[in-house]
Amino acid sequence: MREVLPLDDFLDTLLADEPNLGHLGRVPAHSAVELVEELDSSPLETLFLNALHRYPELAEPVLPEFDAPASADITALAVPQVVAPVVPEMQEQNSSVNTSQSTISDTDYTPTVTEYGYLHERVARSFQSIVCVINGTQIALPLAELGGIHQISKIERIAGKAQWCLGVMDIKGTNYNVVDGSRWLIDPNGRVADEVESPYQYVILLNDSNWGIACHDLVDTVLCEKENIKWRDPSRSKPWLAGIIKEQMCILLDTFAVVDMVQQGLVSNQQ
Amino acid sequence: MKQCQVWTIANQKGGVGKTTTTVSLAGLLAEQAYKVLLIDLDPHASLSHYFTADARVNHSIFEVLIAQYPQQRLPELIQKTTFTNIDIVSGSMNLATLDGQYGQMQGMGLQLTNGIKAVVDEYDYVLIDCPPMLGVLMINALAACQHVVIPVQVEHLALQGLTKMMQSLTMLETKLHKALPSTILPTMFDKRLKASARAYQTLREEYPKNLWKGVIPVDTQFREASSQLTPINIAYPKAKGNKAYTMALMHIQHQCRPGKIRKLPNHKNTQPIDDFSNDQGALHA
Repeated sequence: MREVLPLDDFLDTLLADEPNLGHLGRVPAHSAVELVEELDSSPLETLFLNALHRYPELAEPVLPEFDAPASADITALAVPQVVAPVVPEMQEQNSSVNTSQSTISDTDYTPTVTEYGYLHERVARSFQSIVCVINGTQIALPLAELGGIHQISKIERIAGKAQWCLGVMDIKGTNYNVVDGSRWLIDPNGRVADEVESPYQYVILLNDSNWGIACHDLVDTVLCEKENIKWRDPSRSKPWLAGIIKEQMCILLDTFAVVDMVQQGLVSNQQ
Repeated sequence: MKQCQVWTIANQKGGVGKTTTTVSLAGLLAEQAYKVLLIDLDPHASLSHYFTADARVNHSIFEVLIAQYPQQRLPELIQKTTFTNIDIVSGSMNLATLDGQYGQMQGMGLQLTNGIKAVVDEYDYVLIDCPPMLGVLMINALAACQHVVIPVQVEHLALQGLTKMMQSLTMLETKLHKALPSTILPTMFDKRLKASARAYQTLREEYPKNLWKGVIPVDTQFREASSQLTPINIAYPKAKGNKAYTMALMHIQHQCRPGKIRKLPNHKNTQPIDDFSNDQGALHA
């Protein structure tokens, strides 16, 4: 995670007379995000009910116990790799990702504390999040844990990879694996027909990893108060689902947990 | 050659009227035949939407802040608005990611300063609308400006935010080795509320040097003008809110360029009223 500088040092760095901005010039103009003027305006109540329908555990009391289970074997956990992109191999040739078949990976994923800890522990008392839309559902991601937002350009499909992995996209000379937000997160059972899905507009890079998640739209940035989030106990299941922001009534994603899972070839409802 | 003034409109608290102040001052300056460039540093890009600017990210100020040569990039991003004498460099949502991506990069706080150098001969005023938090964006804006306009909602909680803002300015003055003169603009003053009166009195006592002695009143015509995407001086020239901003502008101009204030057209009652409890005059709603 990024180091937080004291304000004095922060200002000294930013206002240095001799800038060290060498790599900035490598940022091509075409890599920036293109915002859509007309934002998705689905009623929040609908989204909230939708979220509860999909994730009924959100309606249950939250147990903010963040100690690692005694049985957890930390050393056995896969820690997100930040250098080489690894696209999970399909174990079998299968046209759809079906959670009843463990075709993507047979790795047993234990959703527990990684070296990054849980989102609840990582964020400050108030933190900014960006709200995006994936298949009509609003998803929030903490800004401090994003590696950037880019307009989707050419994605190279790689044969034999899981369907929820759209392929590899070149951003500033680095290849990023792009997760199909709809197939991975919203509709892992593949119930939504391809033809009703609109094309993705953006890819949101997840922390410092080589993974990004594709989304249809960007809605807003919101300031979240820790106390105004219904936190989940991530040790139960779905570690990527950190909680729900009450005011916006949208899901809050744990980006490190997402990276952890996709690196193991797991979709959102697998564990 | 023009003598360009760069003003930053900033407050670390949100919802105090920063964008309304930027729009209103820009409208009045344009009315005075000054050429104005607006820079929208807020990821919400409200100012850009107000002027129906292209808010796509690859057309926004973000590109200047990450450019190796910001002086080259900024002129390419200037957009005309539908209002005479007002141009804009739009904001975009990915400005919100700047702190995370480049927030600790050496010299990052001077990118806007360098970018603006390219246009100082083209404009009389550059107004920068800030996001409500101290980060790379606000530091860029404060480093680039000669004057800071601080809208403050006249209510108790907002005054606490002002204390933080003034502390930040003091620290930045030391780091930048330059004075950052500021004008505190009391906004959303509601004369019906005793709390407003008390908060205003506190402002007068705690910030006697920086405070503009008038107030921007609560005025529904701000909202009406906003819905028409038009500065209030054009939509409702007789609105009390417009008259208040006219006087505020004169005060700020006087602070920045003593003796160079142009006579404002069609506005009477331009004397600041010191007594906020006086019910006479437009400033006191």
